[in-house]
Amino acid sequence: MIELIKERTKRSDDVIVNLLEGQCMDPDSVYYGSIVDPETGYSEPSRGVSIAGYFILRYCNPFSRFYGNELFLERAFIAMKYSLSRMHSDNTFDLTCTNPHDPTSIAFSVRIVAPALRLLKNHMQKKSPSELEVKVYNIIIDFLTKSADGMVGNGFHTPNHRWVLASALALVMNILDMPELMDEINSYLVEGIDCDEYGEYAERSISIYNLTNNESLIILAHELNRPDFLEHVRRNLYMSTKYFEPDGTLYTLNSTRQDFGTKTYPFALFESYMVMAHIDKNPQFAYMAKVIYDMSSSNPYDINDQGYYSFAGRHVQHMEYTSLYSGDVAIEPFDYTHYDAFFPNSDIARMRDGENSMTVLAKNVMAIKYMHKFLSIHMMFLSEGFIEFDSIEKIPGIPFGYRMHGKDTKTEVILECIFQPDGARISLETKADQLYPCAAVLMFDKEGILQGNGYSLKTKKGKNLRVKNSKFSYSHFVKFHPYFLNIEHDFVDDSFSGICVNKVMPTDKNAFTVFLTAEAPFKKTIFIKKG
Amino acid sequence: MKKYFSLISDLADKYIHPSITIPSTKKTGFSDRGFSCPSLYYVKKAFIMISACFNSFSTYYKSPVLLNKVQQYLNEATKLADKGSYEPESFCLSIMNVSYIYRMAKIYTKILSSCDRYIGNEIQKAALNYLEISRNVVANLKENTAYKYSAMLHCAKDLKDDQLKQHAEEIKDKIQEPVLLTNLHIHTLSDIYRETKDKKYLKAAQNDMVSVLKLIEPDDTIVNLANEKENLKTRSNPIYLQDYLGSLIYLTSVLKNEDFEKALSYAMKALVIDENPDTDDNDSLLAIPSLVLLNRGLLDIELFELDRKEALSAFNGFIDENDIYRHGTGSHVSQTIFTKQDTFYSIQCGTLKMRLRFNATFFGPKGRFKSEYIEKTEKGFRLYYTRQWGYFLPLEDRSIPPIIGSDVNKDDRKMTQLQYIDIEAVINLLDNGADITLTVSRIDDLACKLDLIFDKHGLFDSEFASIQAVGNDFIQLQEGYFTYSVGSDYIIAGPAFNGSSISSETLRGSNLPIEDTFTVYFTDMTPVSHTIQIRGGRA
Repeated sequence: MIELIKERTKRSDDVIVNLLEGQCMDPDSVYYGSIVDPETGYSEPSRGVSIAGYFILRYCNPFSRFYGNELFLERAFIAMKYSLSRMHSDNTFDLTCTNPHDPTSIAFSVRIVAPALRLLKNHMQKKSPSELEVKVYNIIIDFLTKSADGMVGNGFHTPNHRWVLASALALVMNILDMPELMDEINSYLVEGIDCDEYGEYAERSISIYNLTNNESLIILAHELNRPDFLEHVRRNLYMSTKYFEPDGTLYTLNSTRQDFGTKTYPFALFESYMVMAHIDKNPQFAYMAKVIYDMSSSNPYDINDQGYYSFAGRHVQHMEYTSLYSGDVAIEPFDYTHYDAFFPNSDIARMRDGENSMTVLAKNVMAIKYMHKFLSIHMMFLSEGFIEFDSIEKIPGIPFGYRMHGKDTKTEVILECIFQPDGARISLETKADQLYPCAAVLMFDKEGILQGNGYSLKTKKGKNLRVKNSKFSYSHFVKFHPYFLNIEHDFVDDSFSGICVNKVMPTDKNAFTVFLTAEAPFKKTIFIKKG
Repeated sequence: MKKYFSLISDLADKYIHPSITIPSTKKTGFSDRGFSCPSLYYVKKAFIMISACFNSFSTYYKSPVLLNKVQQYLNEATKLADKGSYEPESFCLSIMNVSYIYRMAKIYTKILSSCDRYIGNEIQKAALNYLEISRNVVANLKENTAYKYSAMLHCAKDLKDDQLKQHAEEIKDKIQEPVLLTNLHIHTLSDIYRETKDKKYLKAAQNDMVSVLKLIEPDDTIVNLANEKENLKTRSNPIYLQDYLGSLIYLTSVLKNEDFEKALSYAMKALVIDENPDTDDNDSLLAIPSLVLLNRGLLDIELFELDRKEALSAFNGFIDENDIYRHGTGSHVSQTIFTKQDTFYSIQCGTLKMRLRFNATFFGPKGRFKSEYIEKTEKGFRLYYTRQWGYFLPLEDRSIPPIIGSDVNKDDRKMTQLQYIDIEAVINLLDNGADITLTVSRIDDLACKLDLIFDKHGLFDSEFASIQAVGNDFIQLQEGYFTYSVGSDYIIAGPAFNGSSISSETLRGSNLPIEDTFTVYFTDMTPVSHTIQIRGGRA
């Protein structure tokens, strides 16, 4: 693992140069010392603290090529000055993009700069500290002192913010020796950690806030000497292994936060696996960290800005809680590609068999997702509107089989999904006391070719098709990728139910949509077969 | 009125003509006409055809061929009557129309030649058969609407079903509908008045029609309030004044209302000017012959020679319990001030429309400017939005659940650090535009953005840049004025402001961009106070 950390630091160094060059050096600018976000046109007040944190980590990290480079301390100092100049009199920052006078913005900043401060302190203890080191050290202490006031009694917004605040307070408490902060920390902790027995947090945010929670709990575990908090992190990391899709992305449709439905790769999970691998000497977490690292190194997929540079832009934080950079952990292969996982509290069942996966999801209109390699099908059910199924249950005696119930004012629907070695079988039974046109709605997120009996067409995004006969196949446009999905069904012989599609026009502009329509009440079956 | 009725009869004949030669079967599937019950297609055909058969202005007057078609279509419709639950509103309309068919056949069969009268009788039987099969379906519809009430009244009367009539009376008081300014709803309210003579429904129809006339834009489209409230997330086909012609004729006749007479005069004149009116999509227009046949005196309405402004200028002012204010109805530039929705102002110049939205980064969606009311002041119409929000504190009582679902329990927590935002817009309306002063106060350092959103593809031009706008496009103008033009219509707006150089088209928490529009935006950081001038005209 040590080689991995070295390599990661090297990549981070490449990115840190961009930060250095992007830093505003105009003393007359309100943003002097910070970096203006080109998209928003302004710099968040907390931005200076995070820049300072990144710079100090480079200065103190012997693996970095900027180790001991004073330019980074000089720049860290003006970055800190920027943030302090933007601090309100109540010692909070604005999160300009949404939350004024935001205590959590202070807490997030503390969590970045506190580890840097500790590394700087260690670095300073190795020799007699320079004047610049002392200056930077003092300005961070000044910030941390004010931050305590900004964080105490000022509240929060979302579930994860509670742990962000508590962990930042714990850092400040220990660094500044302020035991009086313990009452505030406890006021949060007595609410209980919102991580269920399967490892899922309340916000179900696989790629953003779950990680924030993990980071918070790792800090709290160490700062408060509460190793029990790490149990939540372990559970969450094992649960997270069940969210990897065959195409390398994470399944995000169960999130209740900004990552909902986004195409996200698991690079942000690297840190949690890496740190916990070291803390627990857990070779499986080490393996997952390596898997994610390798994906970022040689990812053949379209990963855009989630790729090499974005991943490398972060730095492995909280390694100070481990045997630091000298430690090593064995790697033991962990099978994250074969499972049948049911998380009833999260209304989701995830199944995977190598290159194929299936998701069954309640309380969400996107009820089913089937994947074979890069090819995916999402399925919704249209009655009066798109139905959100109430709950999921395992079908007794049938492995990889799940049943969902749903209803609206027009129909009641029972949906059974069975994940099979060669595909999936989806049975739909609808009950209605008056005839009503319904549709199984299949969505294909990649443009490709749809071949039916008697026709073929390109599956362009935003377009749609009502299939009237019993089978078709779908493949996409990647050369030398001879894979396809066959769909067979019995949504046929119904002339009039097709009018229901008018209710949902225009269809999703990010997918090609296929409608299979029928008049409720009915019993129908759809087979998805990989080919 | 008679010359216009003659024109309308010709239009109905044009609609009927192809139906004479094509087979009377159609499988319903994909359609661009919206979601309606399967039988409606056949009922509509039969309804328009029988109106022509009994209309002496029609070339199909007393046509036995067409009468036979009516019977065929009715039979086809009857086969599909059990699918009425597919879409209740259109199904109820089909029942009302079949009832009209029955009543026209009953009244006018006697004018047919003696050898054709049997067809008239068969049509009556076929219509009653449709109503018979529909009776239970309509009675079991779950939604209690004016449409259902009207359809049940028709079924009860034509089938002489006292039990159904009783049932209809029972649902009457359960009807709960939002204000629906559709022609179909006004038509239905008028229909209920005709069936019951209860003036409450006539008054409701009148109020709705007044609102519709206030919402006429310079291109004779009607502002679609439902679409506007939803930020144009979905866009229905444009609705035109002509779509309300049938209801307008009926209400003008019954109410003897001079303003309605003037509006009707203009609407009829506009119909004559429109060389190729779209009859296929205009059920209201095609239903006029039946309305005239079943209601005496409609052809006696006196119409005037008026220009557009004279005809429509009476329809300005507040609408919908003072939620909306309209200015300039009947002129080339009309303006609307909205409350309780994201678009707070719109101006339409000819066919070119611009909408305004304003957002600040205040606790996600809480920074969207959405006024609760309109206040008339000396400086103009004032819209005002204020919010306070803050942060939640940890729970002191351990028995209260800290989390509900996937979010914190907000109901039982105390809040702290309350922040306040006040947003005010003062709109000084002029004949050709407005001066709008936007002020954000009580909080500093929020990013904010004014969106000026254009519906049509056109030419954006400013001192610094020019764009042939094709939709889903944005530009941040940082200073000066700009002109947006389509054909000879143009709108000028400015001066732009640029307090923060925000280059993102959306702020976090702000409303999403509207599909297929072109947006010009101005940005700033609070505190903010700017006056922008907006002028519309024709080159």
